[in-house]
Amino acid sequence: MMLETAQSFLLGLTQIFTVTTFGLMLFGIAIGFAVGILPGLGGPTAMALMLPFVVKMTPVEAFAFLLGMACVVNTTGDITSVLFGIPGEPTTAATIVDGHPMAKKGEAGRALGAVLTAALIGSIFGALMLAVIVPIVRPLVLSFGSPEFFMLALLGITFVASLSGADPIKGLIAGGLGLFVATVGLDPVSGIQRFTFGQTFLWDGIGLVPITIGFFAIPEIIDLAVTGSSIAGGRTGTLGGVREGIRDAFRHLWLVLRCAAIGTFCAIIPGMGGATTQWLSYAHAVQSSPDKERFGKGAIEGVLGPGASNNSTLGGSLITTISFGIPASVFMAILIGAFIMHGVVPGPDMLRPESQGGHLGLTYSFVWIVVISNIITVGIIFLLLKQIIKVTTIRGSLLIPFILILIYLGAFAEKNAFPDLILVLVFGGLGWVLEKLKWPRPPLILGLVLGGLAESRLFLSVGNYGLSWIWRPMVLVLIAVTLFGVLYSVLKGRREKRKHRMTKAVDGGSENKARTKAMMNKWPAVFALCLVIVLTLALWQSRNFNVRAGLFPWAIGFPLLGLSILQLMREFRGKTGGRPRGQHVKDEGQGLPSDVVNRRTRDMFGWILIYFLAIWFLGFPIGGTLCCFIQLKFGSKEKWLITLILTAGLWAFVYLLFDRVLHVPFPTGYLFEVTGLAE
Amino acid sequence: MKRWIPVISVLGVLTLSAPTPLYAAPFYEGKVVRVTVGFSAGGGFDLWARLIARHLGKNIPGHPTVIVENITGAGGLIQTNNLFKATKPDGLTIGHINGGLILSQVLGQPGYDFDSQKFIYIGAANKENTVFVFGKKSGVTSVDKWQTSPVPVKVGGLVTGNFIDNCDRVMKAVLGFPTQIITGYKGTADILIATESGELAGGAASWDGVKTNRKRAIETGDMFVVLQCVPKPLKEIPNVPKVIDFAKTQDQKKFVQILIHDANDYSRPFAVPPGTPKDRVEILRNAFQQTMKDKEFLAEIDKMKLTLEPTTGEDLATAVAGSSKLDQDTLGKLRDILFK
Repeated sequence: MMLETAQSFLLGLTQIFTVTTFGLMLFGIAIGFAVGILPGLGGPTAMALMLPFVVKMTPVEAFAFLLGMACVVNTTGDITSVLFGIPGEPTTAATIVDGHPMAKKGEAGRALGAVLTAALIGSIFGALMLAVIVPIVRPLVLSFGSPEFFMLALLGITFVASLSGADPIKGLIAGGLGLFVATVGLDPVSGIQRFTFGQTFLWDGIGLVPITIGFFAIPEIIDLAVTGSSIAGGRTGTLGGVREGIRDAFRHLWLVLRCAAIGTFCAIIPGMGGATTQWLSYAHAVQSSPDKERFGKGAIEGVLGPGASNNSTLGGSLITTISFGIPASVFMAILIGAFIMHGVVPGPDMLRPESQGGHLGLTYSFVWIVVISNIITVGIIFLLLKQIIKVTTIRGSLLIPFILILIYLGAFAEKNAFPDLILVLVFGGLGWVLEKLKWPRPPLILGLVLGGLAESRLFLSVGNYGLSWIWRPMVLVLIAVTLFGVLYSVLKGRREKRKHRMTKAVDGGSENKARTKAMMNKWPAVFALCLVIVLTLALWQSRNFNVRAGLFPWAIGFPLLGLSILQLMREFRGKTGGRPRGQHVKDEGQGLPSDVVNRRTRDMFGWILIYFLAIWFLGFPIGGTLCCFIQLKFGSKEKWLITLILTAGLWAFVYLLFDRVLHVPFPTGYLFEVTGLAE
Repeated sequence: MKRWIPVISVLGVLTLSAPTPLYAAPFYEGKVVRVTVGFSAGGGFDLWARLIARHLGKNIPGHPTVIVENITGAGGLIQTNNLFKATKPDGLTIGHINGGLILSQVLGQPGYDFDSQKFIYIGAANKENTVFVFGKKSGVTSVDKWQTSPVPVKVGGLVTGNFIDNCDRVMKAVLGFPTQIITGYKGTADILIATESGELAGGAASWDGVKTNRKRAIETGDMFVVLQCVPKPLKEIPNVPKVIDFAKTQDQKKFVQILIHDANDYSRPFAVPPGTPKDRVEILRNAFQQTMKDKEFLAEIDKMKLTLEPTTGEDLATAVAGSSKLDQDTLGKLRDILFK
């Protein structure tokens, strides 16, 4: 058996090194490269488009092509996240939290060097795990039932604590809000509509993509407009920064490996993918750092953690996909589609050597494809890095139209649904407010991604086992782990606070001054009041739910309401904590009079709305292009030549690439719909 | 005469290359036909839509380009509502509908903004063909063991109103099998894993998936196919009993017919919005049936180990129309069975 396995392992390698297979893998990498960088183009969209070509390939060729593409997407997605603060892929949002502040400090090179190295290490780790774990994966996963999955989700939710920053109550409220938002949509059991306002687009709940884009990209673009400079704001990093980043990855190698392990092993659980693991890894990076204050301001560990895990996730997702045929993501679903096209059935056969009628050689070829394409990708990016980083020195006013269009394209293209643009506006506004009022955003996202999993697995546990599921041995172990984690972080937090108090006494009263200033500000209290009102209304609306549909929203909603009222009272008394972790340091106001800041903020909000309305009224290609032209020429008063060149570029990008080549089904503008001018 | 030859030949060439007024160019020439799917890429509906889209174009006169669009959300409802209300009936958009929605619409569930009777059906290539599978650990190795089980047998469901859940509910509420339905699984793949791990006794799943995914488990006796939800036995499992065999009263037979047999017939339809010109409907219906016989299409079906079971547009319309004739009393009872 050992010998046969080893043979398959080598067979997997030799299968890749044929001219066509290797060529197709490179081609896949090239496509994935572009796809990952552009937020509007998700990996799944691109893969679905490629499926017709896949039919004509042999299995190894097909998977070399598709996996080559898959490997690259997360890595290049990190680039967009770091440089622009827009998640290049939904799975690379966590990289923004510390990666983008680094770019703003002129350290984009170091951040990218670190994230790429972490990505490479992570992906190789994930691939090796895939190879090692293949023989035992089936009994391992089959020993897990719904109760264990629920406990794992719960364990993940407790990570909210370490993402909360200095003010745990704000963190808890944010995490609770995430869990609460996760209940929007059809209740997973009885199919009753919860908080959908009769809108079918909310039946599946609020998507992660519009929320992350709104939460992170909108505040960043406003920030960029307010500073009125380039992303790096005139601070230049050197290419030495890249080397420094690589060194950082090795300096924190143990953290990188731990986060890679989190990515791989969490992704084996059906229902958890890169969107979740990146945040768990980020939380872990924060948790394990002695100096939590640095996070959110450009801490290198905050870049390394998610960078390693969103790439190692691929290995873990592949394990579940290959051995059970459960797709961990849309991407994996397409891969299964490609399996079926080639008459290859995911399941135990994939883990059996060829000599016994299985496809183990094929499975091992995946391991090699992942390793080799990542090495190639990271190599290529390093060669181009110097050019890529220059983007952060381009004047912001020239970038803004492109970023805005990418924000809306990215929100639209995931589901080809226009209402998601509205969600971007809503959550963009919320994200901006949270950032201004120094509330942590990551806990909300973590609650959102884990809420659905926790709820459905809880009901399945109770449905299957009554309450006796709590006594299952694995569940008891997980309860112990969860309690230990919570207690540990509470005790650690207390110890740190004590230490903090001592240093502060030496430090002097600079923080006190800031606190007095915050006390005078009425907005935090207004926001807390809004929270109380919205929650009350939501709970009032939920009075008609039956017990099944209502249990989860109530179990979260009422404590959350209590916490929000508490927060409101604290705001009135002017008792709020310091700046949270996972939050950017705002320095855009420095050196700018507040009326300029206010005007620019107002203008940018105006543009965000204008783009939205133009896209709604005239459609993406015409509306977007028109806005770009007007904003460049009359908004930021650029020269004619540059205005026309950029506008033409944007038009070509939106119309030629997305509409004509990729056939993204853009909605016809309202104007054309009404007048019947649409083709 | 000789000097006329070049003139005539030039004229001849010109006449040949010019768009001839003698016959009209086919409507579909140079057009793009969109096939919309209500689920994301990679799932069963998407797989079939793309498979058919790859071969449909060459069977339509004028050979249009055929592309697939995923309009996801609400179990396909967003796409279906959209196809009915917001799609131009010009024969350039075909929807691959989740047939399970049709029954819920007939039963008047909220949010269904389409009328299944008014859709124009183009054809279907396959059916759900659900079977009940149980794991060895459950001890339910035959349908008798299920029927005579002293304790309720745990079967998995997805969400109320789904075809899988409807099958579960027919067994429990119509035929009175001792059954506990645990609903909330994310897909039949999850149900099958929960069956293998022993969390569930078993559940319903499409035979097409079971026969490929769980081939070995069935051969080794780790899983048992105990019941099939079709009017005539599927050809690979001729000896497995059918649900209808256990329907004794007139009402039971009627409910099995409506909820399982009819629903299975229109489970995977392709349709165009009401108002589409008749001639284009005819072209699409013919092209669809041509595609079902297309050699390259059949070769792909074979390679993918899928089961082809074509239905014509007319037959689909008849099957769907059957559900419109139900009286209020029956509708009420159906609602109780499926949604209570």
